[in-house]
Amino acid sequence: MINDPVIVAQITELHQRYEEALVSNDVATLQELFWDSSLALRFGVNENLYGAEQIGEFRKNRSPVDLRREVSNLRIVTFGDDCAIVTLEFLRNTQGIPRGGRQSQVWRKFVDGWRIVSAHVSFMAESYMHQAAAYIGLPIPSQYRDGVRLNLERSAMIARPLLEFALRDDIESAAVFEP
Amino acid sequence: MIGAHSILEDASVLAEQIRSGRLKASEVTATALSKIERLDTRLNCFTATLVDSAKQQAAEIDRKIAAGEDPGPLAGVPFAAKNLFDIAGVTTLAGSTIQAGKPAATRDATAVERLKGAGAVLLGALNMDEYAYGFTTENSHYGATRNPHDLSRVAGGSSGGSAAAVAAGLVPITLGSDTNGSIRVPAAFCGVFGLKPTYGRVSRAGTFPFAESLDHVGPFARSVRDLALAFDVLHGPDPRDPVCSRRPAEPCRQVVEQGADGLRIAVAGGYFANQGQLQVFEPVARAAKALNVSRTVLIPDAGRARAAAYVITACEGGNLHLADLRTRPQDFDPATVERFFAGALLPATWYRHAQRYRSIFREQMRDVFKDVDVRLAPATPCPAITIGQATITLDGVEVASRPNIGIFTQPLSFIGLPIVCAPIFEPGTLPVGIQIIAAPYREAAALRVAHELEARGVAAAHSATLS
Repeated sequence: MINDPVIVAQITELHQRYEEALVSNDVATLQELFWDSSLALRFGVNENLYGAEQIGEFRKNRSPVDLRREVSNLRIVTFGDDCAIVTLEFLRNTQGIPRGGRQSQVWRKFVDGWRIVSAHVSFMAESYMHQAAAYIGLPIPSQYRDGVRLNLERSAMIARPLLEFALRDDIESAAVFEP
Repeated sequence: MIGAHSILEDASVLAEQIRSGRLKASEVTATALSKIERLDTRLNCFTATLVDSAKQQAAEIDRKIAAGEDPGPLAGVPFAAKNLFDIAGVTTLAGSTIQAGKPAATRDATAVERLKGAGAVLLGALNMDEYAYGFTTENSHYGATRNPHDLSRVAGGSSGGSAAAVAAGLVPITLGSDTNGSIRVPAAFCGVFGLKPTYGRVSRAGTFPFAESLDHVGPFARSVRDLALAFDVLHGPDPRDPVCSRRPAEPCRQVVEQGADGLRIAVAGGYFANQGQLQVFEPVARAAKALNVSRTVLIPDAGRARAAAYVITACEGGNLHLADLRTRPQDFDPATVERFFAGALLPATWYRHAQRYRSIFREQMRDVFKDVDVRLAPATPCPAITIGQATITLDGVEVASRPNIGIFTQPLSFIGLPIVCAPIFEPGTLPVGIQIIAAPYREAAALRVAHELEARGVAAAHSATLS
């Protein structure tokens, strides 16, 4: 049976436990809910982890900074009484700059309870505007983003002929410009 | 009628009459203040009037004259300054509300100080685009400045208040600044004379910067004689401005009377003969004809120069305002904030490329100036647009108005050339202007050509009549 309400309720509760453990960096709970097997898998934002050992090692060394995230579009699909898929989108602030991402998990019920057997988390591909703004610590309020992007595109178009001009190595700009 | 011919249009005559005792500075100041009060509600040139200090200054001029002292060549001449010039006791707005919360300036900007030192009387501060980032003076905080020749149109910018105040005959001389065309564009749109001197020729000390590599300050006036008179008072070394040239002042006021005799003049072709509406090329042709000029010279790579100026402006402007962009972006003018954000994000390599390209373009222009003294080009691609007009049609293509109004001015300020913007239009029509471009430090050559055109009845700051 797909989406048996009893199973969905179980997974919803487990997801909440896992999410709280994630943002509070509660390593023990995170470990408990992940499949303790060399076949477990976790694709992180910057790491591909194969097996419970690699996953555990990563958890222990993870920076606890900026883990808070705002979850949206949480979806749970269950198959029978022992298999479930959890997907969600999230918004996480890194040094004050919000970044959107998504996460998917496969849950499987074993004799001793439900475990995540496979997970994948990633950020949305970022535009130059987002990246550059993050690097200089400049949050751009959402209402300006389209306009800023438009201005960047316009600047790129205007700058193109300039950038195509090959400057000799000995050409310097003047410290004090004399016309 | 706005700006009906009045004594407030001619600084030289005013100063002469005040110096000789035929007019009192106090009376002239009172006349100007009442004219401002009467007309400026419709024009919106002034963001502050300095009634008390102006009256005190004028009384002091009158006292000096009565005592037989010399009050200076601009004795009792009323003037006003774009609100990015420091005025002691007044907060320098630079067209923003962000700066409005800052303390008052403690000292006048050097340019203001020098005009006052020559006897001129400061009446107030003038409207501009926020932080000078615009060509229209449609300021969301302080309102748009209206063009005295057609109140439904913009005055041009960013020194829009400065040009419109002179065009409407509120004051005979104003101060403005020009980073990419902010003196020349409003001078052309409002039909007055404007001078953007050589980069570093007039001190910028005590002015709120925009893009320091390209910032210039200069005067507006109704005649070439007044423009030269103001320039003579303004220019020369100033240790308060690190880029101000140490070159001694070279007075122009007498020299301009020589006219264009002996100067090699050409029309700028290529880039400067395209991308504009027909009515902006006509005055260039009229000027060329009056000066008996048939030669055309190409200015190579002007498009690249414009691109480089654009990049430098965006980067320096964005960097300058970074702290406020982080903490209070909502307080910026919607017309500037997204451009400042984008400017703060441009790659450093673009900026370096643009700065190094400046050396290349300067060399190319020095070559061109080997056998030409003065070049003529249109000032803007179109006459004043209507307030709120988002696009203009150039060569049959509809383009955004804001970034394109400066296409003819931007490549030239990029390397700091001295340029007079001279109005050439028929009374009762929308003004347009031409750029009279000279080699570095040869303001006198540009002023001489402007004077010749004025003497021949080609260039004139016709009075604005209310439409």
